[in-house]
Amino acid sequence: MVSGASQIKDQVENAYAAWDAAFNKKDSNAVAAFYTDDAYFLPPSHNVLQGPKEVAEFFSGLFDAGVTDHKLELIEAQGNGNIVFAAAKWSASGKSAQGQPATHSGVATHVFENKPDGKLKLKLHTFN
Amino acid sequence: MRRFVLLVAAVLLMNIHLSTPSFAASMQDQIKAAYDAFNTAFNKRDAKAVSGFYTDDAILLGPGPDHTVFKGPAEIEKFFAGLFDAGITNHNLDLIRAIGNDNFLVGADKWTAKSKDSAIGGNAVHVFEKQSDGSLKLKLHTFN
Repeated sequence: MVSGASQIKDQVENAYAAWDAAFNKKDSNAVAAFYTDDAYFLPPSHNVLQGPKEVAEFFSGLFDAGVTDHKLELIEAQGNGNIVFAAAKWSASGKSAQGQPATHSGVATHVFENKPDGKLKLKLHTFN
Repeated sequence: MRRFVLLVAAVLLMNIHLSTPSFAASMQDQIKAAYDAFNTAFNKRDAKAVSGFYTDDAILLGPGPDHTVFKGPAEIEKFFAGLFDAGITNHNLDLIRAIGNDNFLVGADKWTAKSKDSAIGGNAVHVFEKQSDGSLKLKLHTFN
């Protein structure tokens, strides 16, 4: 059980590092590739975005708005079988409503599909 | 022989057709039943009953200005008691997506409520752990 839990934590931390790396290259297609074809993405705008194409458009908008230095810090990860879920703190650099440099942050939940090859793909992602 | 093969194929297809949606429906029904119970407790302003839907190690991630991470039923009860004191009522959850396996069920949904006279709402994710008695308890709950 302990090794299972630490393996899940490692899997999620690796997935977070890869996701952050794609974000910080401003590569919206690479970010979108972490999502399954039937993924749901629920941003704080309260839109319900579905699938990699809508996800890519969303992140492309963030990159155009100058959001950089994204970092996910794991709070907790659990799961078994084909489902892994995790809670994280996220932070990024961007601009305030007045156009001044500002740090944005919040909390996020990720529900991953645990693929047979050990790769995690996002089926559900929400943040606030 | 050909007829037999066709018959077998038809039966197999019927089984696939029948079994897949019924599993999905039952997953959705289980989540919807849990949501109904949650909404009922919420709308009675019963913070203790609401916190009873969470596991001892549950995490609740709310959208407040400081993005506090609430852990366990005691902290979660305080959070909901605060909402009830602030006059939040008429809570409802509309399921938009269900995911699950033998141990966990996950619901993505729209939440709505009333804050005094204004309508409020957003998106939420609920990760339930199936308990040994068959009930569902929340391990992780986020909303925005």
